[in-house]
Amino acid sequence: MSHILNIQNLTSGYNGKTVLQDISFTVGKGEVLAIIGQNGCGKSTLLKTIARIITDNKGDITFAGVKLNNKNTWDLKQHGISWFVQGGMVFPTLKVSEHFELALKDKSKTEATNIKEECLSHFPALANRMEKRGGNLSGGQRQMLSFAMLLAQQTDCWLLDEPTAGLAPEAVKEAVDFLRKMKQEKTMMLVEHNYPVAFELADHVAIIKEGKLYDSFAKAAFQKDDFLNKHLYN
Amino acid sequence: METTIQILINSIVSGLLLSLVAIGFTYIFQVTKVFHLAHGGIYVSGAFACWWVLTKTNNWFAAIILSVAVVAILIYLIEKTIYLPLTKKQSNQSISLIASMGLYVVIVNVLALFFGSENKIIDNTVSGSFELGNIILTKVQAIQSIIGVALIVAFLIYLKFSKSNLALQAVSDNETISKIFSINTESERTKVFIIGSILACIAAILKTMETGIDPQAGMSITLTAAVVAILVARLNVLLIIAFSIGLTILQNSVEWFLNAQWKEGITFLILLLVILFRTEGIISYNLRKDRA
Repeated sequence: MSHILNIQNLTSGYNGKTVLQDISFTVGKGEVLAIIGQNGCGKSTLLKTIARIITDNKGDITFAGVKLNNKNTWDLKQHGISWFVQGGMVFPTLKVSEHFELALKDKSKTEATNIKEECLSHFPALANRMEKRGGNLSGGQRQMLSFAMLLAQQTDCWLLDEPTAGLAPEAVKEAVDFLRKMKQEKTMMLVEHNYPVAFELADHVAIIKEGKLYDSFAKAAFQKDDFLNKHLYN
Repeated sequence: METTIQILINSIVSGLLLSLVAIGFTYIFQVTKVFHLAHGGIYVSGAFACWWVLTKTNNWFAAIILSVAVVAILIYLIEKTIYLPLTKKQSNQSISLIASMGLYVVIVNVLALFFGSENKIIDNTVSGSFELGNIILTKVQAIQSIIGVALIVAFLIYLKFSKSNLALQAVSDNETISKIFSINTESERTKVFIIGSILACIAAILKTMETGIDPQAGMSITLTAAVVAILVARLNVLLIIAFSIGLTILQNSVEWFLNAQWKEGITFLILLLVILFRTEGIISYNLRKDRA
């Protein structure tokens, strides 16, 4: 499998505080890498640094041969990367239809219509809620809209920061079903506290402890029952 | 009756000028979250630049172009050296407010230092008026109305064709998520600062034609514009105009029927009532409280 995302000696943090220390790893094309670790270990900081929200970092971030170090977050889509923010990608005062308009603003009318139809085929319930504002959607609907916005970006690599956080069990199942379908065509980095979800979707698991890459495993290894006790909580 | 109509006409003209300042203030506040009191400093800088060029050249075209250039460069420097770095440091909103107040004071002091504190009058301003019975519309008021409406229409056309309002609304809602939607948030910030400042500059020039300008003249209109921004609390040009004119009618009525001292008092009394009972603004989106 060829590597598409390459992180080399990444040290990062914010407000003068170092959170991640000298992390290196690669993600293969079409691979799902789950990043797990305890609260505050630096998982979200890692995604925010790759997404260029945090820019105070050392080391290299390369995606598909392009160095992202000097890029801005708003450039990432054109390089094929989308970041799913913890809590979803919903604007409270914009209508659902306006979310689509914004996400597809740089597409031709035909392209935009096709992409919108593709998104609605995955989340048909949104079709009846086009005039509803983001701030008036339920938790599950917000999640659907967020995934639809992610899909509308038509990128190859998704950085997913806790996509099932705060969802009811049925909504978690819908989210997992959607991500399982999408993993055939996307490369994903998944930060997830719901370990069964992380293990179900991941091809590889990387564990971060106190800002350092503690270990990483292929799917076969982390299917063992004692995986969490042995590697995460010790 | 004629008095009422005269108050109404004067209020609509003054309200149009206020709305030029309020559109800029509201867009800047909603998009950047900076409570930009230095807007008052930008306002007077534009007027002083225009007055200065007119005293040297007597050329209105050159005076307006130079004034617009001065405020555009000034606000660009302020954004890039003060507001944007504060935002990047994730500073508290009150820090940018204090920085803005500081900037206002510096601008006013610099203008007073170079040009003096007394009121400056533009000598070759238009005189005369249109009269219908006892109702008067001065030629300056006619010019203020025509240019004010033309600028607002131009701004609306810009918003429509650039599809900027949706992007600005998104940045106003959540700057981080906007970046994921490929919106260059820094560029959007710069645009609202520059466009807002140009609108304030033209409003200041139009007002100077009528009453002259002194370095302190920007704060009162900026505070009233801030009240409009808080009452409206959304990016809607027509609502901003309606509230600006409404507030000016109220101010002028209070001035005429009660006392000029109550003019600003009544404005801020309304603000206090809105903050107490409609914190989200008079015209809110009626969002779920847990998600707004």
